[in-house]
Amino acid sequence: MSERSSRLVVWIALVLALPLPLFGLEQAIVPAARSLMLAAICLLVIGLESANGVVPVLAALFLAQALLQLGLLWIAARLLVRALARLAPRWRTGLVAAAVALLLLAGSRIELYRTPYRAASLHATLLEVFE
Amino acid sequence: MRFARAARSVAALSCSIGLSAQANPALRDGGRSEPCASRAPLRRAFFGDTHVHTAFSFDASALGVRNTPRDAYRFAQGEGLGIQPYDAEGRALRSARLARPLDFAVVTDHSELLGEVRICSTPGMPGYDSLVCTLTRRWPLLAYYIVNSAIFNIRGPQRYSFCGPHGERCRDAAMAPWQEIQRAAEEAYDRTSSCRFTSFVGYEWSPNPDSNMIHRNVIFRGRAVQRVPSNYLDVPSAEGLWRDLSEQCLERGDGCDVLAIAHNANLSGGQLFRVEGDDGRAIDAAQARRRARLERLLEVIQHKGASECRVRGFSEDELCAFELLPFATMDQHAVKALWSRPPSSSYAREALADGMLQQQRIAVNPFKFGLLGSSDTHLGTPGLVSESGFPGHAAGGDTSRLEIPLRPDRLFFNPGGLAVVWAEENSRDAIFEAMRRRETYGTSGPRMVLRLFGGWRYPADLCDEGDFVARGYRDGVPMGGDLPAREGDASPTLAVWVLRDAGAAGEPGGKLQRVQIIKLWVEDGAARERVHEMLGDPANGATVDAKSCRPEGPGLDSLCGVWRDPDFDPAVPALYYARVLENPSCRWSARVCLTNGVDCAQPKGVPSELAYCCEDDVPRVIQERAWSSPIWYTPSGTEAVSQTLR
Repeated sequence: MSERSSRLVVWIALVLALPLPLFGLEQAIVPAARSLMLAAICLLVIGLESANGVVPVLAALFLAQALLQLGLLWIAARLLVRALARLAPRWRTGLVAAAVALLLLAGSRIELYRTPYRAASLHATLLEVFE
Repeated sequence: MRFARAARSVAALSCSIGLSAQANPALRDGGRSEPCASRAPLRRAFFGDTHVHTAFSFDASALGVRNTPRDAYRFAQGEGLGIQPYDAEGRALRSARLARPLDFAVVTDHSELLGEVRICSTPGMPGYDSLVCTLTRRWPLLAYYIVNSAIFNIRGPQRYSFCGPHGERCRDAAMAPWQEIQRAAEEAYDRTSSCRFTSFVGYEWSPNPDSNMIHRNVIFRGRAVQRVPSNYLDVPSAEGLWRDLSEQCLERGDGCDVLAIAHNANLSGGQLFRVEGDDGRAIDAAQARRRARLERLLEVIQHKGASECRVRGFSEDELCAFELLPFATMDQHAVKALWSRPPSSSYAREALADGMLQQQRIAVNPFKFGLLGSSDTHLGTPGLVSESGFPGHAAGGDTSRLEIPLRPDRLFFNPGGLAVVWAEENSRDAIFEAMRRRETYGTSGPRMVLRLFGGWRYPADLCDEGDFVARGYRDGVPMGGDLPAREGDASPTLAVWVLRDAGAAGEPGGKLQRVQIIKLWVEDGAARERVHEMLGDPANGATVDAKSCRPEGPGLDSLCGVWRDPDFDPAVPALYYARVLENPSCRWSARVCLTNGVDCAQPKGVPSELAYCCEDDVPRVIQERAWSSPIWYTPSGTEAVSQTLR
């Protein structure tokens, strides 16, 4: 796997699974992708229904945090892959795959996320967080 | 002993003395099969809750409440009820039961979005799969914020597209829940001679234009009600509501009768007591009369704060600092940085005074309201107002839908209060008439019994005579009334009798500390206030043991006395109301700290939700209280509006 591919894989994994705080009317701890999803829902309401009330503020809040998180995670992925650059490509690929697998596995097994906006329980695993 | 004797004395007086009540010849209690076996001509205190939400209200539904109006009425009568959160099989993980049943209750679900809630929760209904409905089912808390703010908090809200081009689909869908609300009230009303429980049909009209709450609960006397409840989307102003209630109920000629109760003046930004009409001009006598005719009462306490007064506004009364919200409007509540100080015009005391000023201007007092308390629970649990074991009321974005919270509610909220009416019997007619004549008082939860009479010649030893209540009615007026014409050069004389809350198993009542008379009057075109200590001892030394929440020190079982206004000026309008204070007791939030065994000596072991237990921001001790409706004095020559009404 090339350095560029490694960076992309790490970044996608972090975006999908790394629990990050999301500030809003309630405090959540969710992956950046979930923040982006909430922003998209708010934008959909604005587009299809109306921009009345708090929805534009929420959309802006979620979108700003999601974009910031995407950027920071990109930098984190870059730094991580650069730190692995000295390793042989085979080792680097193996380590990246292991780290990603560990993150996804942990996220799937442990309720790492706090999701007050969901209909079901307040704490969720990776498999539930995007419901 | 003294307490028991006093209680027996009140009961005996109520039953034996033959002072006839001012019975309304045109009672319209349709459907009562038997008269009440127990009727007290001198009236009894009935305890109730006139502000209750169930899963039919959008906000309650979005916050996970599943209890229906039928559940709420069962709960009010003493049955246990499951409350959120629910497990995957739909079993409630918490339950509640009243230590003492209520005498009456009114389910007042929000009239706005009744149809929308029905559509979004009924598979197969057109609109069920719409974006907004999907949002309410999959991301309910997000929907709560988005929909609430878009419908309730703005001027000129529009229905969502799934309601159809003119909103007809949602209006039609609202009929089913409205009929269910009526059926639930009809079924719960005890029509036997036992007269154990009274239910009323009601709803809440709930506008927050610019986030200022100008809500009213609408309560119907009997089963004749509006065909469709008025709602903010279709009726955006209070004047529109008064018009609807007149045209669609009072003037219909089939016995429909109705009154309104204002609430959350504290969150109205002063808008609840505006003296301008829809056209921006000062209201005239006809508008004031219409309002005063329908809006007879104000909730002085409920879950979202007290609305009596605010210290260092209009008032210098330090005891105003009781369950006051720290923000001016609900949209500020979630972000502390946004909190602003509510104007003093958001409180009952200034409005009552302003009403007298308006009466001087237009000869009608538009703010002539009595006082009561209620819960505003959104759990469908009327009367659940004890500080002990308070489970929260599922309002204001509370997330107890998902897990049992360590801290059951937001710290600035409280369990709410009770409505108490003085009525001859526990029937719709008697209670409705009591509310109409404002013979009511509010408590912050306890069931103390408060009598207040106003007249000109009550003797100083009235309490010793054995006919306190009979003479109270015979020689004057009860709370909510207008003093009769002045006799000679007498000064207004108030007679007060209070019995402490006797309590119930597991819920002991607090002892009494004192009674105050609050006088408001108008002088040189400005409103004034004075708080008089009347009975009891403010420095009685009563305290609370913070470690156990056990009250300590002396207190009283009953208080009785006669007070004469020492500064009476017959030329100026005035009003008087009584405020009763219990000895200090633990606030609900302090009891939560105790229940969870918070040890502030081990700060690392204190969960973040309970960190407040070790800080000084939240009061640990409160003084539970009761507020009577006022008694008004109007100088001769000024129209007494109450005589022109009905």
